[in-house]
Amino acid sequence: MATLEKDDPEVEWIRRTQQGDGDAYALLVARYERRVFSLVYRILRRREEVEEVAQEIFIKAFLAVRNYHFEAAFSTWLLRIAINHCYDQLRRRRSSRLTYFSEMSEEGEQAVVLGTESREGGGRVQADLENRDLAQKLLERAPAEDRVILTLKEIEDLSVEEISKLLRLKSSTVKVRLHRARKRMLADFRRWQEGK
Amino acid sequence: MTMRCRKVRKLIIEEGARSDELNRHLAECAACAAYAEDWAGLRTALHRVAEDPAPDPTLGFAARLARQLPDALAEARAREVSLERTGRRFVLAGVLAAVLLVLGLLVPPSGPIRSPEAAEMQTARSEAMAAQSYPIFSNQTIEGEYEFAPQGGGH
Repeated sequence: MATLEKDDPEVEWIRRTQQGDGDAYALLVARYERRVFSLVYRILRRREEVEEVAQEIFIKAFLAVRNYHFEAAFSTWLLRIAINHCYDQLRRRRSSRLTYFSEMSEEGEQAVVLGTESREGGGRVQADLENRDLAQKLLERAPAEDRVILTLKEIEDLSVEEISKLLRLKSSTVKVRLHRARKRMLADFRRWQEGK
Repeated sequence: MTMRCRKVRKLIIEEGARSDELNRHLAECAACAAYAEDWAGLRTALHRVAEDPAPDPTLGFAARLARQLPDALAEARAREVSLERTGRRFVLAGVLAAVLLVLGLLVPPSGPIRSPEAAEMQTARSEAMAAQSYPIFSNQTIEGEYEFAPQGGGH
């Protein structure tokens, strides 16, 4: 998460956006759209929803931009809005353990089943793919809080300090939550492995 | 699982530096070694998940979004106004309720406005009191003038 350089035009774009300039905001959107798309996809894991959710996030940020006071990097502020929005989405459509397969597309479900069945015939690569599908599935089944923190750490590869800034939590709190989430996920992972 | 195993597993998950002591424990304890292996497997799997590329924004996403901003702004303002109105109504209702409560506390409990029965009783009592308390008004003269009647009848 980069901080602003003095001659970065972003400062000017932000100030103009705060005065209601939509063109200036389009420049900011163009700069961060990929970052937001990536984050939304990685947290929600629904390709077809990414653009719509990203749009909602950018509109929400535009409506709130007057509350941005340059205390943190604009990217941090924007990603915080994105995370909170995704978190709300997750809570709204809480994918529980019971509904997981029912929420999957038929193709996706078959892919997981086939991956599991063909393990014996495959080698290391096949086992890796299978584990990837399993990890993805476990992430989707995880409680919203675990899912967000695990995505930020394990998938987005952010540091504890960066996560604490994004979530406005103390580093120690992030560490505790991360530990709990990892422990729960590993327990699920092992249970699944043992069950096979 | 011993206390030692618990501590070791915590260290594995937290991915701190692996001390010689920890490595020695892993060499001796098959269960913790399996735990460490599973954790490594999960980490690798998560890295594979991270390799899955996110969809790219469609061409012109930013420009399309910018065109939607005036509508979004108008909608947000309308929502704000509506919220403000609702809020104002709540405040007014609250003030009204408070005024009524104060009035309710100020009105005497046996007052005529309480109930018809209470009102009748109150009227009857007032009349009775009037008859007893004002004997000086003996009779009424013409055009509403009162004659001051001497008390005691001694004069």
